[in-house]
Amino acid sequence: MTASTTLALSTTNLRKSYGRQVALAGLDLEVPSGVVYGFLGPNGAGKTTTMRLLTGLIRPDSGSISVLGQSFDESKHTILYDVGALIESPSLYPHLSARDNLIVFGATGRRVGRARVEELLDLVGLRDRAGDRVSHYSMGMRQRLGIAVALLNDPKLLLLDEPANGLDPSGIVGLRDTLKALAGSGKTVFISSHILPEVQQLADIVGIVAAGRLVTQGPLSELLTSQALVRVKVQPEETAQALAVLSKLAGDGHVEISDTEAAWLTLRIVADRAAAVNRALAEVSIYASGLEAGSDLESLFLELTAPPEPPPTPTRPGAIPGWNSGVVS
Amino acid sequence: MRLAIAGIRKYWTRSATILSLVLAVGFVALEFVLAGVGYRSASGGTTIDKATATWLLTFPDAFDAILAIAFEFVAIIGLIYVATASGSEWTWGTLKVAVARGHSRWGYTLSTFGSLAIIVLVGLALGVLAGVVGVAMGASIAGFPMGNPLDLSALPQFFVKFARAGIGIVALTSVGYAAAMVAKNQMAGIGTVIVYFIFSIVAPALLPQIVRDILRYQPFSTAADAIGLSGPPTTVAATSTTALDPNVALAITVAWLVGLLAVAAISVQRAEVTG
Repeated sequence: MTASTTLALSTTNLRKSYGRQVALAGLDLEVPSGVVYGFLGPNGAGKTTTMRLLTGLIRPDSGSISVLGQSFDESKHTILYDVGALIESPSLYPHLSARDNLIVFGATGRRVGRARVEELLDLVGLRDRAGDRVSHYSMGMRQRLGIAVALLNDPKLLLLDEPANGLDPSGIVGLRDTLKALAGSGKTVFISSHILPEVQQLADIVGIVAAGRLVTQGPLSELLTSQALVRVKVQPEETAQALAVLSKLAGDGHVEISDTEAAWLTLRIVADRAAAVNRALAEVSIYASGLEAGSDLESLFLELTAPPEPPPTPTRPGAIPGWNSGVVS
Repeated sequence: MRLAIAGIRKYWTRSATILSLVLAVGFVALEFVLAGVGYRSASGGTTIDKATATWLLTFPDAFDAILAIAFEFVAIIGLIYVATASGSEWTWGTLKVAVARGHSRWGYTLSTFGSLAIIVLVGLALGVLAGVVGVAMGASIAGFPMGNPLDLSALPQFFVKFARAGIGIVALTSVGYAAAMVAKNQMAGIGTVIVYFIFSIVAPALLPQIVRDILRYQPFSTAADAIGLSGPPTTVAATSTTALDPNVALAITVAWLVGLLAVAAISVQRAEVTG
């Protein structure tokens, strides 16, 4: 971020441990105002711990937090009057209706009027069931009500932990439109999510956290460009020649044979250069039988959050291949 | 204040609230009806004597009986109810929402207790009303004159004792509140208050005199002594070897209330809210 960028949220060297388990090992976040920020990371990376710290639910071991331009700690709880949050699953009174939940929660923090409650019931599509007990709601309806609770005080900064959880496709589209509209009106939306395509559609800026540290942060478009890939399929006997040609085009180390048997080569270059790849191969009479261009957040995520190669160890009986053990999230 | 009012709104509609009130009211009324039934069949060998029956079933003495019995039942049920209701703030994660919305933890803790205290006081008032009805029914069954429950010479003293009972009940329920807030868990809070209640009833009969003298100052004993009731001792009053002076007991009861609320508030203030 540039020095002139107004930050809605920032953390400096934020650290938090639970006993000997390190959840955050020096997190430095910078979230500009008026953007949708996607906060990504695998299970146990420290996303939920970060959300809890940002809302004063837990205290950091060290480091600092700035919220809406003010240094934040638990004693300055009124800063949160301008923050809305949905952390983990929605926390609601099951015996109350949606309307009563909003009224009761509206009595905490900054006072919220009845008109706002009714407005939010419409916004999240719960008007028709507003009088029903929440215990009779589906998971998606609870999620929508949880989002309404987060929006109660018309926050300048919205912190959402997995907001699309349990939502049906129309609910997800509605959420996306709402969040985009909020960001469009100058509010800042900070989303922690595992649903990468959803984040890719929503986020302006992405931060990826792994093992309690930020591994990358920046405008999504720039990150995706840096991660762009072109994949090309040739005849197996032409693989070596194609590799040489494409290495000249993309640079050494930017081309690899990703599937020897099927003769797929992968180039780490901007996706819109796929035509150049095809042309370079054609000039040496190699005609691609397959060509894929693109870049996606999932590839970036997987690459950046991949754990270091562990030394080979015998497989533990009953272990599920490919699953890391979950730790503190 | 707005949070306390919102708290009443959220607790009032809980089935646990309704069930607790129905139980308290029902037990109080039933006690007097059974007293009438017991006295009526006294000739058949039951143990209730005329003095006790008069204390229970004839106004103005029955006011003390009503307060003693309503206090006892509402205290027991109220303790468990408050532990249940306040513990659910942790179980449901609703405390988390209040904190994340910028509400002060102290404010939330105290106003939530305020809401619960009002509900428990309503329970005490309903218990007393149920007692009056129970006395009327019990006296009718026993064939006793019930006296005048609207006796203006007795009512001021009754209201003073009712106020003292109210303070005592609120102090007692703060035991359940503090237990749930320290344990950060509904079931742990309920378990703690049940153990405390059983201990406060059973321990005086089993422990040496010196310990019993110390236990006179535990909340159940001081709250009961603070009312300044006359007549046959209740089960709760019986836990004290010698009743404390009502004013001293009231002061100690208020000290318990303040201390327990401070424990609850400090516990919430220091807690890491991860639920």
